[in-house]
Amino acid sequence: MRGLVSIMVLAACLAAPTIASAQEAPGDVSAAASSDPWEGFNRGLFSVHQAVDGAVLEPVARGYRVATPRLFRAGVSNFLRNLKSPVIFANDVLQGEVNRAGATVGRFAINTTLGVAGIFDPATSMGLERHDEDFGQTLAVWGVPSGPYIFVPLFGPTTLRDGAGQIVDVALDPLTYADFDDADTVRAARGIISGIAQREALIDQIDSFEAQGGDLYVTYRSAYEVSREAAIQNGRVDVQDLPDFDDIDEAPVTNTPNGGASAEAIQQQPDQIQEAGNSVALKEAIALPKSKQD
Amino acid sequence: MTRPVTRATFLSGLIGLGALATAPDAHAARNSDAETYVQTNATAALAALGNPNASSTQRQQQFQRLMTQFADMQRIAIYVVGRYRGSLVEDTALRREWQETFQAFAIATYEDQFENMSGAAVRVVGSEERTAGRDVVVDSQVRPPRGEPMRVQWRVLRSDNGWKVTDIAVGRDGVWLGQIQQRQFLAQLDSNRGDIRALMTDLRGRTTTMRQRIMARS
Repeated sequence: MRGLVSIMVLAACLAAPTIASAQEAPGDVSAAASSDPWEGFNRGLFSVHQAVDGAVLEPVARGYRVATPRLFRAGVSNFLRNLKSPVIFANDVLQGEVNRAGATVGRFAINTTLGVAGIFDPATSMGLERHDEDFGQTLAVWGVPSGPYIFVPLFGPTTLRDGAGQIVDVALDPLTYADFDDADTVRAARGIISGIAQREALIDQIDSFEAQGGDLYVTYRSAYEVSREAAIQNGRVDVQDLPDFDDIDEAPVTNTPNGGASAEAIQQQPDQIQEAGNSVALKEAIALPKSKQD
Repeated sequence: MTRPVTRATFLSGLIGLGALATAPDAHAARNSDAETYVQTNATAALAALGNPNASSTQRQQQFQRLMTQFADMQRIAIYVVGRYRGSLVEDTALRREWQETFQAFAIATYEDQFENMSGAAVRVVGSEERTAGRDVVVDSQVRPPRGEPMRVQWRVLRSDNGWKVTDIAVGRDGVWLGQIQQRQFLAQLDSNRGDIRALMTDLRGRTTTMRQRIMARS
């Protein structure tokens, strides 16, 4: 499930409107959006994932949460994150992010020593905020388009570019080449513990997705695409690239807590707030979108 | 004679390199008016979610009132249907119905999902103007009663009615929730040939489910 919360990211292909009446709108981020030509296949894989997750991953993650104190789980996450520092550093450098590369080195030095092998994270309180990088992001910075969306059971949402990037990240990881007794066992243990820790970290987010209802496959994909784009930009979005909003001038709508659902469905409250004025005047200021492109 | 680099010297060098990385970037133009607006109203809205002195009904009404004042629900409702907004522009009654339906869905979602944020402390840390005096992204740190503080950015637009929030980005990288919502709705509309009424029927059902859950909890 890597990257789902880190979640929460945008592809290259412009999906053509599927109906004739569809029109480009200011702020339509979908202009750069979902490239999911293998949706049918992906939905099949998503179903497999959901079954395995429900039967194994989620129960194990919930058990891990129940059986361990928060401090312990934080220590495990810190330790695993510290082990990723060489990969993050390599990608910082490949992206030309000098300051962030420095932060990664500083964090690794501080957390490995003062933080007792990375179990604690004193670097953050010293002003060195943690960040993630991977080779998928590096490829994006180099201008490689995301390619088709892919849902991989057990690993979660990705794209052709980002999936290939994960393979390179394995090659960039010094632990891949470590040669000592039980090295394979250590590598396998890290993978399993990482999976459990990441699924535990996503419990609340996935519960939230499921609670909202709707098409869970689309929810995962949307969240992944938007969050991935944000990660590629390292949180430094040029505000001028944000979407425009229509210039409208109208009063708030009358409050309808259930959106017009049947009164029997929920207990309507008698003294609902009434906002004044129902006049509507949508100024048709349909400007060209400033949506960001991948 | 060359002195060997001791472990301590090497470590100091690494830490020094890290310290360089903490040097602040130059700041773009800030807007103190927008910052004050977010600081005041975000705190109030989050406090309303967990007001222990109010009944669940009162809490719901207070939260709805604050949200409709704080957020520009009408503008957001149009934004989230993206390229399918055309039918809403042409049909005033449909637009009104959609805005009501979306507003009810959005507020129920906030109430249902952000309960653990009730009483969270909001600290505005900066802002950047997209359009001077009119379109601003306000940066803040939100510290929930339990859990780690997180970065929240507020996109606020100023109209005749004053400032209103139009989107929120959460996390270090800034994930815009309105953009996720738009993608979800667009996928649904793509699959149903742009039938906004069908989308409204679905949202009403989901709103009802969330309302029942909220009432059962309170």
